Amino acid sequence: MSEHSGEAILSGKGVTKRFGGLVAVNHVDIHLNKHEILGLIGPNGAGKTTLFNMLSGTMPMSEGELRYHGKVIPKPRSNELCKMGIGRTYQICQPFSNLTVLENVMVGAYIRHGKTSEARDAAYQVLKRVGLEQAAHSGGSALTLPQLKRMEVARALATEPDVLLLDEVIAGLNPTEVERIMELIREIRAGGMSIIIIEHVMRAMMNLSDRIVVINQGTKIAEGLPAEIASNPLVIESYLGGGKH
Amino acid sequence: MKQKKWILPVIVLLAAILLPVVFHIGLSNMSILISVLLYMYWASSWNIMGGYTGLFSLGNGIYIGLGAYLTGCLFVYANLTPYAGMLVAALLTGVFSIIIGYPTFRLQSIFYSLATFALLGMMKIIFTNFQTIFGVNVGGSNGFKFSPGNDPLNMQFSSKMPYYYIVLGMLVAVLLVSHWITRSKRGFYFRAISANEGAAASLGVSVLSLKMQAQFISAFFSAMGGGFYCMFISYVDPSKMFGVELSINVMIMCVVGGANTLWGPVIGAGLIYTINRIVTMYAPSSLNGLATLISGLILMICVFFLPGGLIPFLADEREKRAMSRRKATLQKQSGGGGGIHE
Amino acid sequence: MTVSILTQALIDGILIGGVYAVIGLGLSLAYGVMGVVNWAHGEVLMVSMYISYYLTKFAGFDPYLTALVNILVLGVVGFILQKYIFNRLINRGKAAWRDILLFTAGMSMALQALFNLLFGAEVKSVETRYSGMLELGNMLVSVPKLISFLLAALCCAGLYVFIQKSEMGRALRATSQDRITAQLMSINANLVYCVAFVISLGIVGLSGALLTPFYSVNPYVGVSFCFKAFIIVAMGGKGNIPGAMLSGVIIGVIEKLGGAMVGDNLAQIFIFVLFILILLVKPEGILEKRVRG
Repeated sequence: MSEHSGEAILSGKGVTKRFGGLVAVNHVDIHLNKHEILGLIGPNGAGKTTLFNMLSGTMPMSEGELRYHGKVIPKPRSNELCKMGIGRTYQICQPFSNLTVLENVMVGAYIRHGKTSEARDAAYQVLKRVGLEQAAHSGGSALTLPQLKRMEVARALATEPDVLLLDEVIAGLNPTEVERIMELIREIRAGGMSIIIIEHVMRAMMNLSDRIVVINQGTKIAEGLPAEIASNPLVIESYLGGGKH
Repeated sequence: MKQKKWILPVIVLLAAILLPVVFHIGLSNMSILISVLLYMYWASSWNIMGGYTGLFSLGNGIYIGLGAYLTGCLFVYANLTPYAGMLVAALLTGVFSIIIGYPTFRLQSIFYSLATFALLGMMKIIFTNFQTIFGVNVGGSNGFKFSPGNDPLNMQFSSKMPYYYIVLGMLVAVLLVSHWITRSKRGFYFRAISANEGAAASLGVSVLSLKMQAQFISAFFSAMGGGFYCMFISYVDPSKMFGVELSINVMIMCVVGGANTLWGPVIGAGLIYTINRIVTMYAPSSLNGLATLISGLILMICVFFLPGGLIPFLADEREKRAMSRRKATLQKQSGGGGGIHE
Repeated sequence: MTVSILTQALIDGILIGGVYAVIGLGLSLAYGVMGVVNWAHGEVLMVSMYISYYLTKFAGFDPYLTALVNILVLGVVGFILQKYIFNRLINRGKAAWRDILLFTAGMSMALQALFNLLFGAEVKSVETRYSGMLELGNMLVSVPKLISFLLAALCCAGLYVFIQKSEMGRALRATSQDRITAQLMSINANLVYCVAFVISLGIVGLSGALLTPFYSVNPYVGVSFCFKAFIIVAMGGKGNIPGAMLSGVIIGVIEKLGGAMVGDNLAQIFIFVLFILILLVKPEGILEKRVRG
């Protein structure tokens, strides 16, 4: 566990999302401390990704307040939040298939570097950091799954965020690849990032996270250190009784 | 390496510039050349929003027609020289395109396309049914006519050659702008939006603002082409300008050539126009509409077999052949000893 | 503008609206289940109208019975198109809709030109024994239009039952909601697409027969029908049968009332304006899909 200051860099209070009559996320309070890796777990359909979408501005909140660096963000939208320093990846990879890998990452880099040559250099550096520089000129969609996941991460990293929201970046990888991505995530955090990560692979979550928040049926049912969560009866029940793995 | 890419286009440009000087080109052939260049220009203009940004507008004619009418009216009623009139018309049309575009940008792409198609239809009905619009006499279904003159300051020439050079210059301009766009941040953002809006937004791209920019630039150029056309034939025919055929043809030319490329629209326009022309010339007059049939078939075949268009297809083929040549060389180099893995 | 003229137009509009509805449903089905926006939907209608016309005029068929031939022919065509062409286009990923739009646009152009070459551009109509007017009160109701309306309504009702109650109908609905999940529920996507498209074109075949007794045909007749079908899809939502019926009637009424007031030509503007308004009001289903939670 690394040290981190007590102040929250990103926090949501009373975050709620309604789709018509259905309440997908119900008044959740969640906060991310600086330099922390926060794990977000819960059975399928629990509302994790919806919560994620609201924290990253991809989806508007029905109710709730979002604070970044302590300041309230009135109408969070994903492109503005990204400019402020919140980056995210998607559960189902979303490559720009009409661009090469390098160009994909450049789209992210452009937010900090207006000139093409600078953006290209910055993007290349990020590719090296995630170990994808060999594939720099491959087509954006002609990649293996682990490579696609790395490109997702690289693109978000290129926007030079302070907060990174990773949505199921491990799912679908074999054990070796899982280890490598976990290494990458630890490295990214060591470089000063604060991270929220959604994952289904329990081992990875327990190993990576400093703290864990458990969501079930749209509400937060538990929060604490990995060891506490692992032995929390409510959590165990929600996984056994609730959705499938 | 980069310099090599420019040699061929520059040679072609020089040839195009010298062509009318070296060869004596008759009136009708000159018209054909001007038309080809104009279609290349329009296809390239559409490419900026349709090809690069994915704003698949089926109503390109809206901007072309507006540009034509505005330029003509400014010339006839306000005595504004068309050189300036074209620019003013293009600016106004650009603004108009954003105003009507704004509500449609949030729609699913297919409904954006349908909306542009609906707007085109509306424009056609309005301009063919109303003699005066906002108090200005625009001619109704007879179209907007004025007498062709001989006043170079007002873009009226007795010979066709100056028109050739004007449209050639316009084509070069739109190609340069397209080229500059693709290498800039804006161009990358356009293409990211085309591929995946949501992901682009998460990377900080202001999707709405950029769509408006793409639409404005594209409409601007299309309208200028319309203005040119108006001065060229001294006539604006609403059912042609706002007709489905013109818009769809421009789109087909761009798509068949290669929508996301610089030269695709140019090659596509040249190809389709030539085929159209040949068919119309040599087909018996009883076979009315054969050219349209062939265009439709070409589009279907192209979409099915050459999804990206002609240029990407040829580029792919060239790369495949280069790769197999490389493989063959490697095999030769590893010799007949055998047992050496690749 | 007397009340009776307006009421007449209203009745007319409702009757033709029924046929619009059924044509729109065909498009809605293809779009909802397969994501296919068939730009040539109107041209398929045109082809079926020509088939009905020639069978009625030269082979002595009862115009409504030609529906059987139309449905058969177009069903087969739909099957072939879906199996060999749309199947491949659909699986092209995110840009599939563009390719499908372009392909069907090419098809539309080619069909118009082809039929122009084959049969000429003149408008063709045929006198059938379904003619004349019924007197209801002091209103006149056109007999063929009434029959066609009833048959169209019957077709919609039949479709509704099929979609709601049958196994295949459930599969169609599930695929329309979410293709990926439907596949996970081991619904055979190819079979579902096939059924959807065959029904889609089959409906159009029926509509061609319904129109023949009172609507004349020319190579370009499909364009306005197609556009109205698009509006129905936008208004009614994917595969929403009651919605499509209502939308069809609304469009028909606006068209006929508008025609009575400003002439048929200008009345088309109302249709366009209606479409734009729908898009501005933005009912569900035509907005950008948000990333699902």
